[in-house]
Amino acid sequence: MGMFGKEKKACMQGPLLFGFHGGLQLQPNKRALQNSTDPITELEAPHELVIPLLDYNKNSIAPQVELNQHVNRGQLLAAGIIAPATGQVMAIEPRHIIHPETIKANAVVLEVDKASDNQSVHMANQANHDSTAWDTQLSAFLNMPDNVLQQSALYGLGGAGFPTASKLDAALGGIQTLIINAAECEPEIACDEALMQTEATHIARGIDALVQLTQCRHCLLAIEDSMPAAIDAMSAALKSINAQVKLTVIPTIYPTGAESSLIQTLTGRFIPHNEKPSDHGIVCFNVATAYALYQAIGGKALDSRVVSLGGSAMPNPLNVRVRFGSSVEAILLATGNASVINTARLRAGGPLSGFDLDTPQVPITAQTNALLAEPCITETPAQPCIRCGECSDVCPAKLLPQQLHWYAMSDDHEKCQQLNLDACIECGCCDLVCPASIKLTQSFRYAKSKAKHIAQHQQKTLDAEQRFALHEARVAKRKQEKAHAIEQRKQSLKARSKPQSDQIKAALERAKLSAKSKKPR
Amino acid sequence: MSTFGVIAVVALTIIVLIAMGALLSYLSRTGSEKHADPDAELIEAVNAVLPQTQCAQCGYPGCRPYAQAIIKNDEPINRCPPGGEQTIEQLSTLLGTPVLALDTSCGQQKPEQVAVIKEDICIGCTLCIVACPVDAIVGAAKLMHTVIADECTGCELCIPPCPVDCIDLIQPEQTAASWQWPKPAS
Amino acid sequence: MNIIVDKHATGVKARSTQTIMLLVLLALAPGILSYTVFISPLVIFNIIFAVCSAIALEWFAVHLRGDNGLNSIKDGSIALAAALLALCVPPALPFWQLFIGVLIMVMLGKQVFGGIGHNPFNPAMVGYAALLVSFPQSMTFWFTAAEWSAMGMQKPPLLSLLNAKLSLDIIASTPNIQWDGLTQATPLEHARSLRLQSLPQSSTELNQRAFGSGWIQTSLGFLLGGVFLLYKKVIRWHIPVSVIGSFALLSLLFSTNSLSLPWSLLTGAMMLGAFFIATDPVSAASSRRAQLVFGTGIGALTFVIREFGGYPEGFAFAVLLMNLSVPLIDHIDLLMSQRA
Repeated sequence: MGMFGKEKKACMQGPLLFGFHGGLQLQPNKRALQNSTDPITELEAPHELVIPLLDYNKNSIAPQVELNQHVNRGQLLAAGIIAPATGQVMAIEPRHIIHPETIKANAVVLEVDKASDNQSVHMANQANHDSTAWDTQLSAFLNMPDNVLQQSALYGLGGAGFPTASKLDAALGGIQTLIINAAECEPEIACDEALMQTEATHIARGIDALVQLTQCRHCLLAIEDSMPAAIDAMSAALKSINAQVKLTVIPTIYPTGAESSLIQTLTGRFIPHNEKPSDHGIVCFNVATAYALYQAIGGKALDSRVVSLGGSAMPNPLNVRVRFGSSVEAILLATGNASVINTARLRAGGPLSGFDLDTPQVPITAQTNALLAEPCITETPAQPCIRCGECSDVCPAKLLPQQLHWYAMSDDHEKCQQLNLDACIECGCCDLVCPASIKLTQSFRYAKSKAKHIAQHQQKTLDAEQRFALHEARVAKRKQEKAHAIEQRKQSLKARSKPQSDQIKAALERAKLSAKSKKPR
Repeated sequence: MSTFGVIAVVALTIIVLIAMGALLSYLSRTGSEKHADPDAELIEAVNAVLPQTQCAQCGYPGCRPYAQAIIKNDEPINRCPPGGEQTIEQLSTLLGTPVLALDTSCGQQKPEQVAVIKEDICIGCTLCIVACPVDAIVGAAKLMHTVIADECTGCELCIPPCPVDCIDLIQPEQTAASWQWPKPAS
Repeated sequence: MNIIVDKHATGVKARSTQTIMLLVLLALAPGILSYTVFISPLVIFNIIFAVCSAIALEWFAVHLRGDNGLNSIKDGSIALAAALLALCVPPALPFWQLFIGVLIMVMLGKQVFGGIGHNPFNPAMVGYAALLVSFPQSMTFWFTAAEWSAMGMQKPPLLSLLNAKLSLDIIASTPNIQWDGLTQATPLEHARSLRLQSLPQSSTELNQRAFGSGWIQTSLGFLLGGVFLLYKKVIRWHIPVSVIGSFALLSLLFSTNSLSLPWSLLTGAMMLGAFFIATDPVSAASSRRAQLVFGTGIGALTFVIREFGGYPEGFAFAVLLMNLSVPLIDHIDLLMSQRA
């Protein structure tokens, strides 16, 4: 509880911000918002939706629908995965997923039934405008929060995609500070900013619901100072519903939107990577997740998100709301950006945290916050490190990227662990400042995934050893049992043969006797 | 210093030394009791290095028996094809013996593989289930069998007993969960 | 593999190694200028000669290793190191001796360790130290433009001096120049010899002599360049401040020298060393905290060598000794930050 006391003090200091180590001031460059008249353009569901059957940890899960089955929008396709549109299941087969390297995963392919899907959109819009129903819906939600959370398959829209229900479960009860993350610090990404400009009231209601549900003492909404329109909209909306939320304007420094950096900026608390914020009485939600919660309380499941189309080679940059499972190609075609498919380099996510796409025929997921088109470039090859130390100056996790890179490249996972590689948030700051163009972030991602793989492999080896031992024990036991059974059988035979021989003897005796008795006659 | 004093000092020194010696020998005795069987520990260490494929290509019915043979019978360390060069190197550092080339009479090193049963051919004879050293095949008599891919070590021991040749070895496919970031060019 | 961190799209342009080296070379300009004017124009020839031969040797060494020699030259690091070496040696040093210094700098100071980024020692200081122990006479043979007139002597024409630099032994080959009158010309050397001989030392006289010799002006030029580097964030304050700070503190407390503190900071290699030599990132400590320790060590060792050692200036040895302790400093720093 001592920790909470400290934390309370930090929050009561109000407007005082603590900042975090390192980081970089980057140009926000939000083309998606600057170059279009509407903050968000709604896109119709495309002809085909592909929904990969993967859980939060990217493990395959079994489908709960059958081939050719008709599904309604919001119906469960598998545990935690819902149909983003009304239509028919055309196939359940391996399909390309949105990924740094083209790989496939089992997916449900949905042929959208446009007519009934449009009807569902129409109904949802009507429900949205019915604000008198909100209070009853909210109290129903607060009474039975699990119903809503399970039905609407809520998960975080910030980047990690953690299931909201489990996050809330872990947090319920001991929450002092609720942080709503609207920092959106990475260049080109403008989906949260656009959402706040258009849906401020609904976001405010979603946040209010979170405040009431978690019964936190403080709730902070953090917005970067580079988005004044969003700040104005949110501050008015929060005032209008009289929510107990404190809007905090934070400086625009990348990666202030990363959970650990944001918590540090707002509370001054550095949370080690192996601890959860909820251990410290803090829980963070993305602003889009708050909006999704609002929708879920109103009965609308999470089946779409705002994606920023940007990048210097994108002819028509804008923010679009698209259904999960829409292919990148379909989105680009529908927005008049088809020309980039063959001419530019496509990228999912921001310039720092995202990855290049090999093909546009991949479906977007809840984590796809941006699609960028950038000119094809050849990267400068890495030069030797001159040990300038700029990388550790900008590292928000206070690591030593220079040393870590050395160990990562020489596969020394023990040393990487010692230098706290797991705390790396892969923000890419070190790459940006390196004078020798060394691919630090990639080497860290490599080392982390490799370490994970090794751990999995070790576990598998241990399992195999155990299973072998059990197998051997069982075989030995069976052998013993068999031997025992044979022995018993022998014994019992012997035991039976004894009386038999007695009987024979007796019979022989009798025969002899009778023979004797007969002879004299 | 009086004669008595000198004797007292010498006696005290001797007593202290004897006491320390006794304590030390006692401590080391209890220490060595813990390591009752140094061979057992070494066998554990060798077994931990072996890949636990349980393929028996080394000529022993599993990884642990081979580990015992290495320690107790001086079996060479290069008889494990699934472990390959890496395992031989680890064993040589562990045991302080020279690195040997893989004994190819035991087999060749192959990439990671898992067994898959062609389910339409399987006649349900249970012979593979008996052969599997890690119980990774499930099924019952006259019913179709299947391999639990996560548990299969790719040891190939199920291949020879199968009367209808319905077991294939495949390289496991890259999945979203098993994918790794590539190493940057240095 | 595709692009992981898209620098291009963020619009951030990190300064390349080449840019950093060029900025440092640019920052040397005011110092070189006042060196040329107040001490000797021969330094220009030394710099040109050292840079050209260093580039040729670097290309050769990298080529021998089987790499592309041009890439290695392009980053500018060897040109910078050669310029620093040329600024440290006396202007009258014969070219062949300077060449040996450059050879040792490139080969033993840098390339044997694997080229840029891998050398534990500051290459320029390796070359300098080798020259100092190999050619003690010519390496302590200083004269300045101002002193020619102070001694009431005819300043020999530049051409004849250059001619002398081409010879094997500069003193023997120029009998028409009265070299003897010019020995022990650096103010540090002068102060040291006075102290060693227990002769009376007049502070004002020493200071005037220092100013007259042109050293003060040159050091101010290097200071200006150092401030430029700090402003451009090519170097950080930690190393220069700790070097100068620890040296100044020890001088204030324990100096037996009559040279006043600002003067002792501005004569010798202190300014050049603190801003340009000790700040070489490759051979310096890596974290900012470790750099403070590293710099403090250099300042303290410089003071100790100047005060008690056999050489009038100890910067080169101080840097080399601290280079030697960098792995230890870094390791301790790491352990401390892990404990924190």
